[in-house]
Amino acid sequence: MTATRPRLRFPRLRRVEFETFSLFAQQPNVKLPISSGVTCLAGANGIGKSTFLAAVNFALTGRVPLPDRSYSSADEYFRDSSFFPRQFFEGRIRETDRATASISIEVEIDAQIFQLSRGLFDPDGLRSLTITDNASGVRSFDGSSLSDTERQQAYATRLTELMGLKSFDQFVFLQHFVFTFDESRNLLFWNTKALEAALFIAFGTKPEQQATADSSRREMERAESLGRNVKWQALHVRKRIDSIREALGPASSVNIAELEGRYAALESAHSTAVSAAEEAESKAADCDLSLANATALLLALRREYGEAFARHVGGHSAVAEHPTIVEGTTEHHCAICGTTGVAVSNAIREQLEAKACPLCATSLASLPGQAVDLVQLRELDKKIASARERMESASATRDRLSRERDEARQRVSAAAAALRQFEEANTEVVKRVQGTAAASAGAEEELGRLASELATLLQASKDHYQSSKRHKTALQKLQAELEQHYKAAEEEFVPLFRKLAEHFIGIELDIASERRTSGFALVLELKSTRRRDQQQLSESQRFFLDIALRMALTQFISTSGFASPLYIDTPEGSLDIAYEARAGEMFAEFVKDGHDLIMTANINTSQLLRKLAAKCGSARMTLVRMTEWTDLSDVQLQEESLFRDAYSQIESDLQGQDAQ
Amino acid sequence: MLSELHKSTYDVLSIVRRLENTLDGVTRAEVHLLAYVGCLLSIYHRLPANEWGYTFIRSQWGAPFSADIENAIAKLASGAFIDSRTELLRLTHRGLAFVEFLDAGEEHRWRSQYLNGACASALAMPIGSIRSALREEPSLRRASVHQQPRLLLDSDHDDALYEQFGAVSQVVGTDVTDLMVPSVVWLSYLGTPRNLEAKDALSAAEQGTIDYE
Repeated sequence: MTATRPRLRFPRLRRVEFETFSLFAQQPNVKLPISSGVTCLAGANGIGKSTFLAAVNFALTGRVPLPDRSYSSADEYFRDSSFFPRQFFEGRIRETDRATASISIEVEIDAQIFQLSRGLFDPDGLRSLTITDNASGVRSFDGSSLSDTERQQAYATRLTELMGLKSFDQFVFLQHFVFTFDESRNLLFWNTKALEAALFIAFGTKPEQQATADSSRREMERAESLGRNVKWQALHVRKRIDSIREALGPASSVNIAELEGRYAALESAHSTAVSAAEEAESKAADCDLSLANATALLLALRREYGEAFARHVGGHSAVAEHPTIVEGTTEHHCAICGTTGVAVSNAIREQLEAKACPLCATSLASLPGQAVDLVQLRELDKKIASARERMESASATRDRLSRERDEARQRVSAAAAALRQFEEANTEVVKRVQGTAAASAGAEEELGRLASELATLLQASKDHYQSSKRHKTALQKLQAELEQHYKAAEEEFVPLFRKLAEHFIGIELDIASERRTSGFALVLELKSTRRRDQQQLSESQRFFLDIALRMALTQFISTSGFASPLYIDTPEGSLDIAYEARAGEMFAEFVKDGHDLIMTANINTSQLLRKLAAKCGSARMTLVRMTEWTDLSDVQLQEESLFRDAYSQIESDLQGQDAQ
Repeated sequence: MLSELHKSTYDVLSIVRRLENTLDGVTRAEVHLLAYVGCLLSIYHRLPANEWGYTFIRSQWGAPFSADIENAIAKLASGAFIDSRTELLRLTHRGLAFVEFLDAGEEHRWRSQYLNGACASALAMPIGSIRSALREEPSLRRASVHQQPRLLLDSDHDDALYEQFGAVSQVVGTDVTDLMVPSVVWLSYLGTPRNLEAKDALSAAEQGTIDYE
């Protein structure tokens, strides 16, 4: 299948300007041109590095990324995050600056320069907007005659069109969930819904698919929610019927509420058992893969050992040790003709010293088959022992996981049987509740009304269930298509990711696709073992593999030369110096391919910054001294020379690259 | 079964090393015979026959024969690991150094106990008795009815062999580390007159009351 998918264009940041941005006390009107490559804003703690990236995101999208980036759909995220910018800038901007505080940016996309300005407390309006053709300098749009809201709409419409996306919401989603790795450390790899949405945009045949998938999921969840509400109402109606029956006499003694409670518990137990069984199935399948890998490795090593062994035994380097020759040299006796005496041993030694066979005079140097170094054989022997242990361990794990899988399946069967049994019994209960017993005329009337209401609610519940099922089927169909498209594009995408990620992690890794009930996802494989859970990786591994995924996705979805910059906030975190250096190399690799990186970092002499500076040089990296933008704390002021030294060190690394 | 030359090569070196100083050397035919006993002992330990790494056929003299063992002897002689100029095979210095090297490694450790059990049997009872006892070994007996060579131990239905091993393990236990004991008991059983009940024969073999000659 050939992948036919749209290549998108994204705006590249060229300039950022703040006006009365109180947080940057020393430079509230700071202007920052953005060059190609890395723009690294380095500063001290609490200086506003994260705020800078949040503000740029706000300028681009009208939204500040939500700290908890739970994802339901792109349009819901856009709608539900509209409250946050005001809350975010509150406290960062002085009360007296609220009216004037703004951020202006200049972005370039498809040779068009967008210049826009946004008030920090007005997420849905633009104070100014112009669009200019970069080559001719001709202004193609001037929004000065429009209202703030109209300018925002014009910006969203024109930018969306140039990007090739379906909606501005999609851009906001990509900007916040894919292009930005900020201080909240939301990880795309393990945010199944968001990852699926990103994959729909990246691998789908058209951006609309992501919106359609969002819509199907939303409708499915809505129908499920409505179904639950109706069930809840039905429960109350049943309770009411139950209480009337109780009042009418002993025949109606069935406690419907209690039965409902038991029913809900059984449903929950069944659902839990199904999830556990799915997980057990996945783990067992992973383990089968590990075992197959270990077995293949063992077989390959054994073959290699056999070959090395045969070469050692079959080599011709031991002519001097041949028993016939040894007899001649030590016992002065020719085993061929029976001659004895020192002349025999001398003649043999002479031939051996001339590197010739004493029997036929053939040059020993010309004989094929060099004996294998025993060290090599010993190494293979050790590798085989290690591979065998690994295989035995994988085999034992597989046995355990197979047992757990079988037990999980049995629990599902048991839970399903219990549920079925209850449903059959419950039908009888409902019938009894709806039946007519000796009752007063008023109560009978009320019972009739309630029974009718119950029937309506049960029908509505059924309708919602069917609606949910219908949307689920539509979603699964889209997910199946996505899987096909992903597999068709795997050859292009996986090497992009691996190239970046292996730069950082330095061990064999891979990425595989997987369809689960929760959606289409990507799973990491390290050393041929799948790591589904976040906990199976260290924190720093998670962060940088997630950044590598974002970089690879960014490269993959973009038209060459029109990739979005990545916005990364203080990535160095808890890395040791070796991994800092690797991370620096990974970033440099991304930039080398023509991408921009807007990042912040704590100012120190971390290997990440130094390696990045050394690799990029000042031609591809700009260091911004953020400590000059605002007031430092007393502690920071006392140690200010340390900051200066660190800046100098990194600037020296930048110059070092230039000198090479 | 995939032929694995390094296994047969190790077996030749190991058998020659174990017996060259106690039996004044070991013949080619004895190497084939004892390698086969080793293979049978691995089956006694419930390993599949194809784990052994090479196969045997019944030779025209009724004894087990392995082309891999023959090939290994030829290569070892050519590479100056063994001296095969006389009927008795002997290790050269090079051969001794190599087998010591292999014994220090991991890859052949598992089969060492079976070869040890087979060679210890050759020290505990006359090699001629082993040869004649093996003629009664079920796989060799079955092959003897065919004119064309047949692979030995190639059937999944060697019920008779497993029955015998089951009986032996009842007598000597299954968890034996020195496989000489079950080896000698079983070979002795094979060498007893065929009208004896298996249990009695095994009991007699265990008590050492059978006259091998």
